[in-house]
Amino acid sequence: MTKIKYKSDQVKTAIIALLPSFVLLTTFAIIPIFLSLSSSTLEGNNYMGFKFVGFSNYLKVLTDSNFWKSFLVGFQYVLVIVPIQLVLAFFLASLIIKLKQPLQSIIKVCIYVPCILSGIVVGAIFMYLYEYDAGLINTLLKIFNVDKVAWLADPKTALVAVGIASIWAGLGYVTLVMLGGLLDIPKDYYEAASLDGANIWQKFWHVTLPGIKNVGAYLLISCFVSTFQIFELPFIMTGGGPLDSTMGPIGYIYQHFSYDTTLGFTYASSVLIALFLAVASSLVFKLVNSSRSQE
Amino acid sequence: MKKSRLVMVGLVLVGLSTLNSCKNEPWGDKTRIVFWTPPFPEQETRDWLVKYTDKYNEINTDNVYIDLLFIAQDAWEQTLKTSQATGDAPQLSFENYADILRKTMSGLYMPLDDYLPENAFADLYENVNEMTMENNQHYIYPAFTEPYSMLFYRKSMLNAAGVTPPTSWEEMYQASKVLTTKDRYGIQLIPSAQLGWAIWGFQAQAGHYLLNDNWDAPLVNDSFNHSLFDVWYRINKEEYTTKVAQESYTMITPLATGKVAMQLAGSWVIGQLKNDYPNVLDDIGYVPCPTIDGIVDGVTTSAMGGWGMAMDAHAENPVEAGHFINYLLAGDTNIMLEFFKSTGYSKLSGRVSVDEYMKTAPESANDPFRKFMVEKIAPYSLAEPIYIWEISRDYAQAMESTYLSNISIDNALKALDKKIKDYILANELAGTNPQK
Repeated sequence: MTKIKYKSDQVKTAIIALLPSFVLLTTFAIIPIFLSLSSSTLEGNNYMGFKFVGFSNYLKVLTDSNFWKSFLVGFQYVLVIVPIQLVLAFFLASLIIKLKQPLQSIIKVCIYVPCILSGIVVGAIFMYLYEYDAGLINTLLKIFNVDKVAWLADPKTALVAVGIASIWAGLGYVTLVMLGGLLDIPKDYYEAASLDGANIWQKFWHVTLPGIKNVGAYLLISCFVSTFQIFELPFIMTGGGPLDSTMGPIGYIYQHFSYDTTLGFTYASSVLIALFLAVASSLVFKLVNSSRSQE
Repeated sequence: MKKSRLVMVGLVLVGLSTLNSCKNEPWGDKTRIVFWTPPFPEQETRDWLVKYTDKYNEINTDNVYIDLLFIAQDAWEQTLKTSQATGDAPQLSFENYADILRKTMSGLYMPLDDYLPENAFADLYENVNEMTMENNQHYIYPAFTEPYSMLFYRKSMLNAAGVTPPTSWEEMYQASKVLTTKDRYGIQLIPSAQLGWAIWGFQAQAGHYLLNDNWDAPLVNDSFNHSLFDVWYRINKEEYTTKVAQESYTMITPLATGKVAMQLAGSWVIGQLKNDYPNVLDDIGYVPCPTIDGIVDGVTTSAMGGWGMAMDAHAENPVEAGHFINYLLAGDTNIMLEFFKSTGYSKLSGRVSVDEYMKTAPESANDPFRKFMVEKIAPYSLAEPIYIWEISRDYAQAMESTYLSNISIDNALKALDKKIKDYILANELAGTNPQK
């Protein structure tokens, strides 16, 4: 195994380039993680002082059925949002590639616009659409003599309704990243596959899919993590209800932060969720890296 | 050299401008005491707070400046919590009675007895004393109290339908049924988002809330709660109420705009009606909240809550801060009279002297809604519960689960009973009731 030797100015440039990220990561991620870890083993506040309680806050969180329910809701969001968002983004990106300018740019801008809207605006737009008595969707249903649906007030529909808003809000970003991945695949590969007599499906399976594997893995992880932690849209649209059917893990933490007089429980639940996301992300990374090394 | 001089000049300029900006702050050289308040719904109340804080800052000679800041209602708990966790809490803040004792147990607030004159506390009603005291010390000085639950209705709609205002839960169901039309719901019950706390008014009718006095057993799986769940279930299931609430429990808009014929609401909405919907005011009627057996005279029909001022346990200027509380809430009765006028007499005073004064002031003495509250509601109202919020939240969810998830009432109550028992164990609540 050969060791690569870097020139000193290369090292300096690397340090300068990495320093801002390192400082930001340390300040806003690493230090808070350690602070949360230590605070999760304490009970008390600035006023009463703090008492070391070991893992008792963790025990309280882990034995709270609402915590596990919020975890389940987090997974439900992932199942509803991530596959649809990735598949839709792939098809849209494939379509955009085939379009000519200026139509391509127009479509890209149109798809990306929801990304620049705040979650509050997106929530408000969809709340108008879902409104029970006079919303657009129920008005359309009425035309077809279909009964009104309480989209956001019925536990059977609320999560999907919030999920659709989330898909719409995030689709532009995922599509553009996916587009970047597709554009990175050399055209030669497709030409070679055509010469070998490959059909569309074979080209997709043997050229496109391996070509966007890394981008796909990145999107899978980032969508999984952000969707599991969805908070803003349910907070605006349903407040986590009805019957907590739209309250994910971050909503659960937020509620304890708001109403508990001490913060040990909140810290412990935050650490557990961070731990879960770290393990889940690293598993996906490991999967992707090992498959790359086999190539 | 030139470059370093330029840097020096720059630094001096920045320093001077910083000093200058400090001098431009309204408190100047005075000691700044930060006072946080949520933005109460009525503009007149906000104006009242600004007016008397400014007045105090003009007249006080303590070299103190009260810096009044309105914090968004939606972020109130979180902002206050963050400031307390980071050691940056305001010296003065508004607090509600439901939270104060629990927070006091966590050491967040300072007893006020050493910083306000004795007669300020002697002026309080006995039931208000109970709501504000722990271990014989006051932790909050009341600004107002307000009943949580009453039934407001449109006289014209009830007359047209030949319905009299309901007094029992069954009558409330029947009236809701008769009053529901194609374009209007019979009643707006309590919206889902506020059900956890606004249902306290109904719970209070049992004479107790969801835990026994020792906080070691739930009091939920009984016929009273079964009946309450049942009427709620039927009105919701048969859609005599809005499936999706049109407004928060704190707003009277659905009734004022005629989208519902009856609406459950707290006393505060009369201020909104007077200020925002004067044209429908004559058509609005109000009665005590219906009860299980229809008896509404001389019995508890509502919970009683309210807000007052509290002092942070780490307040650096408790004497000066206490002086301001005394000025604003405990002193001149005219100041408080103006406050109650600003709310359309939708709230009640915790002070005997202010109440006596209001009985003699023509405008307040003749206000029919105030008279109704003072005579029919307030004397019998139960102070709001002070145990952890999850218990109230789970009660609301159990109630909703009957009509949203078709859980039977028996099963919902059984599950609730078990959940509260789990909370009692997990949070070691037994024997911790500070009011026992």
